[in-house]
Amino acid sequence: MSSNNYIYVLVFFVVGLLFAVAFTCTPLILSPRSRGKKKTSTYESGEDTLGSAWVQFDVSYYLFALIFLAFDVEVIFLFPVVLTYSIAPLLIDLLKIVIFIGILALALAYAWRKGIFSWK
Amino acid sequence: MNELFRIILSLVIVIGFVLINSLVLVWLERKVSARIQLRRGPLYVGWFGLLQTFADALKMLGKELIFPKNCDKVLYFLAPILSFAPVLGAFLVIPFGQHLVIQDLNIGLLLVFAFSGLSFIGIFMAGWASNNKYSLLGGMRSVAQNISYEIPLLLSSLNIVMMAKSFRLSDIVRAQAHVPFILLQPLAFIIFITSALAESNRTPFDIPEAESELVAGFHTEYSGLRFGIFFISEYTYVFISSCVATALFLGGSHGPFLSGWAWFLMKAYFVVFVVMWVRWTLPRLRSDQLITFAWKVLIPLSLFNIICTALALQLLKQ
Amino acid sequence: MSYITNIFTGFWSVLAGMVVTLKYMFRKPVTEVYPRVKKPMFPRFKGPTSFVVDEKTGDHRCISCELCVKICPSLCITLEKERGEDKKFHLKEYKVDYTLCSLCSLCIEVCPTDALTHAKDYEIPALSQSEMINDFLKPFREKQKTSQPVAP
Repeated sequence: MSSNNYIYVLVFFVVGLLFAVAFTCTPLILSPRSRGKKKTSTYESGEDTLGSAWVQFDVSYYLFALIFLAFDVEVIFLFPVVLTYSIAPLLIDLLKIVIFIGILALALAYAWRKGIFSWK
Repeated sequence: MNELFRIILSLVIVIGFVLINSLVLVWLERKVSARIQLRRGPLYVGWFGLLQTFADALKMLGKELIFPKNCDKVLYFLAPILSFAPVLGAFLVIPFGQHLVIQDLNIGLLLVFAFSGLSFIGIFMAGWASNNKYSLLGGMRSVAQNISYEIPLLLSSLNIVMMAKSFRLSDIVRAQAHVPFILLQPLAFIIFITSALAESNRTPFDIPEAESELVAGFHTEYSGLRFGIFFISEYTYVFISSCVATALFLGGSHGPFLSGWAWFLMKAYFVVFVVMWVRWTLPRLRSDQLITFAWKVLIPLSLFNIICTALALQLLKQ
Repeated sequence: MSYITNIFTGFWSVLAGMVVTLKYMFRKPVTEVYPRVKKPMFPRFKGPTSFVVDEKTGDHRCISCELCVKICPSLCITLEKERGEDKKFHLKEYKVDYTLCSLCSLCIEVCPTDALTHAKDYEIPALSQSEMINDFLKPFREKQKTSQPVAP
């Protein structure tokens, strides 16, 4: 079972985290420190910032997030379907894939028609 | 015990490779951009300026890490780490040679996509935590762009899965022993490269970090090595996506005369070069044009391509 | 229909642009590697004024007539002279303040013995104002020092 050793994935991810922490903490020892009132202020091309940046944001970004959610889940469904189809290509499976993708395309056409992709 | 040794060895090699590779890629980028703009690029430090980026990295090591006054401290600290951590995992399944792969998992392709999809969480966190309007805009754009281009990326790789009948990257490479898939699936290749460019935030899809309008976007507030780690992860993602493109479309380690890993690296670096070449050729797109390009052009085309491939499989069944 | 032609023209224009940049990549770079390789100046380049070195005597040709001091519109030349034993004027000091000089070349035109010229030098930055006052006799003095035989 050495070819499916998922412990590697965990170890690599954890070591990646640790390495990044260590990497970003070395300058704390090596770097100089300086003080100043303006030093830690938010950068805005030399002007003082007005208010916080945590404000309401344009809704069209969230619409994209919503259609992405629908599409991404459906793409995940497509992955196993496509794999089994490629191993044994049956005509009925092709029909099912076409219907599935057709529904996906309909969703896309609906969003297109509703004007999500044209920003105002 | 043997397994433990193998894990440690592969970790050391991968970390070393990631660091050196990103420095070399920054050098290459500077050289390529210089040559395209009729300049010379870095010249003095080392052979053809090759050590220039090492010097820059050393300088970065001595820079102070700043916590901006208004930032969300925890998220601000975590963001660069989260954008770097998945980088190592993506190297697990890339088949550098015939048997030169750390762990040949049977879901290799999905694993690479999963790990590279994680990176934009770090980018968005950086944009949000900085409490800077430029950074917030950069982070928002980055998420919108990444999720939009994720779908054509997955859909175009579905064609390859259909032809190779496996998610295992080494199986996909083995299926291309005679004909690389770029000849059979040119449309899928173009879609894949375009979306991979967008996924790694490269020009013409670099609105998240547009220097001239957003002052480097999500990493405006970052300094020193925190900034450097964003850079390293960006360049490593470029390299990983060119490795995946090599394995999926360019025949991976197959090639005459030279050994497998040499061919693989040559092809991967060629794709990296093409990515840089595109960067210094095309101007930046507007935010909405960019996102609608994914939904209006790339996704319909890749859906169409999948149906075509399925039909071709059906017709060639006999 | 225009949707598909749009895609094709877009793709084609990307390819065309890439070919252009690829061609540029194999051209010779136009930039100079400046501090390492210095560009020779043009023959009529007007650099800072300086003394002409006479080929025969190896000295300057200044006869201390002070014409250049009189004509200088920005009053940047200071000249000191003394009468020698041969009843001729000898130049004791000739300094030009480059913070004032506008390189109008009037002094060069007026000089009766053609003792002044524009140098080809273009690297004359300095850190303080006093460094910008150039002593013209300094190279000649140094030359005298080195050429004098050392006493046995």
